[in-house]
Amino acid sequence: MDLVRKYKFSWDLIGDLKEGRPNLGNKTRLEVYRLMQFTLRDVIEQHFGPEETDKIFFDAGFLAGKEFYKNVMKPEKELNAYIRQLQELLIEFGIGILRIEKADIEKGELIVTVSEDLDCSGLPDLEHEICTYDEGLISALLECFTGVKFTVKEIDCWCTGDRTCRFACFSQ
Amino acid sequence: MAEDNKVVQALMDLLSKKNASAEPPKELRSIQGFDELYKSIHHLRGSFISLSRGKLDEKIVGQGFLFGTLKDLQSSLKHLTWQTKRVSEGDFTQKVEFLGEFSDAFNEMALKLEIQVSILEQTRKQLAESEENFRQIAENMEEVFWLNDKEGNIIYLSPSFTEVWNIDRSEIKTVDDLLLMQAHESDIESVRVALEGFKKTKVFNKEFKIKLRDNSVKTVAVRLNPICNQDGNVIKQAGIAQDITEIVNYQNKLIQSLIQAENARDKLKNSHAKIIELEQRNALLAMSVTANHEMNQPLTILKGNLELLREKLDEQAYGRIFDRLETAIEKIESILNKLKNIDRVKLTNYVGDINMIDISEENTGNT
Ligand SMILES: [Zn+2]
Repeated sequence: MDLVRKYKFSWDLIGDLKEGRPNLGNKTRLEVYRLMQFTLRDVIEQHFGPEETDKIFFDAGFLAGKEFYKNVMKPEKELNAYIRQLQELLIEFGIGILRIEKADIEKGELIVTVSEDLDCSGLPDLEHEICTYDEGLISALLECFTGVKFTVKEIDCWCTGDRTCRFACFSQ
Repeated sequence: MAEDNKVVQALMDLLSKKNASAEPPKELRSIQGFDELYKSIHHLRGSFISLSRGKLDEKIVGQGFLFGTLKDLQSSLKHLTWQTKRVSEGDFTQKVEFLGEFSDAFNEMALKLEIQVSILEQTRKQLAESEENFRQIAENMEEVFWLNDKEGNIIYLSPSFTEVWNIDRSEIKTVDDLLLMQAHESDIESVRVALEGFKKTKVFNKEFKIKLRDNSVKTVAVRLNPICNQDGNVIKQAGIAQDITEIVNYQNKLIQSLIQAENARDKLKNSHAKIIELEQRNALLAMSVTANHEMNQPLTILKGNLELLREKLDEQAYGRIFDRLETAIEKIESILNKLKNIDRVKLTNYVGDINMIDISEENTGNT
């Protein structure tokens, strides 16, 4: 069906921060980010249920990953260099500390962890993983680099008392 | 109370004993939640033991602060393992972030490794270039060049050896093989002596003949140079040999040509002398013919008139004058006669720079 799009994302929507926020700049309190995310999540869940909410968050993360790759990252040919750049950018943007436990690009298997994650580090125990947005983001970043679709699943999360978020990634 | 003690003992055993049962004591299983607590701690214990033994891949099952901390540690160790592997593969861009002192140590190590490896790489490149230059020189020079250790074993022998000696390089193991194996029987002894001398004098500079397997003979000029270390001890020797057969042939031809030229010059000199002598003699002969021809007649008139005068004048008064006149005329006749018979021109000094023709009797053949 043809939707009349009102909110189609483009990087321009990030806006000109220098002009727009000459005094406050590009910084905000993390609480505000989480406030936005978890209230949005709450409302979406009320409208569409938990499963659909997770799917929406995954897709949003995926879109964010694609745009981040396109607008922020420099092209790289070599996996280690790509990971290195990603690690630096994730720190620079305050998203989290990316670490690689395993990367077998031939087999299409990676295990990565994100510590001090933007979405979940410091949250109370919830007995379920909540970083579906990160799953989508990592999936897009791997797909953009390799050209192959990746399934990404969070297997440990701060919210399940694991103190770091661990993601298993498999090429499809 | 006794049960409380058993609980404490069971948990203490889990924490402190080397061997601990995977199951809680039977009598404590009825306590609500104890079974789960015991197994949880037992599993945590197992995960600690695995990590301490370097087994990073064992799955840590369990949740909560302690499990989470252990998972975080496992994750960091796995990440460091992965990074160390990348560094070992030459990716020195790897950096460890936010792991305290360890990050500094690791990052410094990676940086130092990168510097060392780049120095090594640079050195390797220079070495390869220098080897390539050496190879090009060695392979393109006509002279035979070799290096041997101080025991005389050949370390390097240039390809031109095969061209000069006409045998494969692989046959040559030592300097003795190289210099003596094909040395000509007329020279072999002197080469041996020179080699012996080289050990003391460090000088070997010799031309000698070699006999090839096809029996042809070549002449080579060989020079040996000792290569010393910083302490001045000989560690290697370098040798260079040049096929000078053609040069020697040219030399011999040149010497022969010189001798021939010398002979020819002598002959020419003789011929020249003869020509000059002949010319002089011819000139003399012409002169004597002229003299004889022009002077004999006036002499005859002179003699006839002297005869007439002697008859007419008083012998008493003029006899001695006539005698002297006759003697002078005879002397002139004799000189003319000698000039006519002269064999070769010989000059004797007359006065100052002026020479005169030697007409003494041994020169005219007259006796
Ligand atoms: Zn998480």
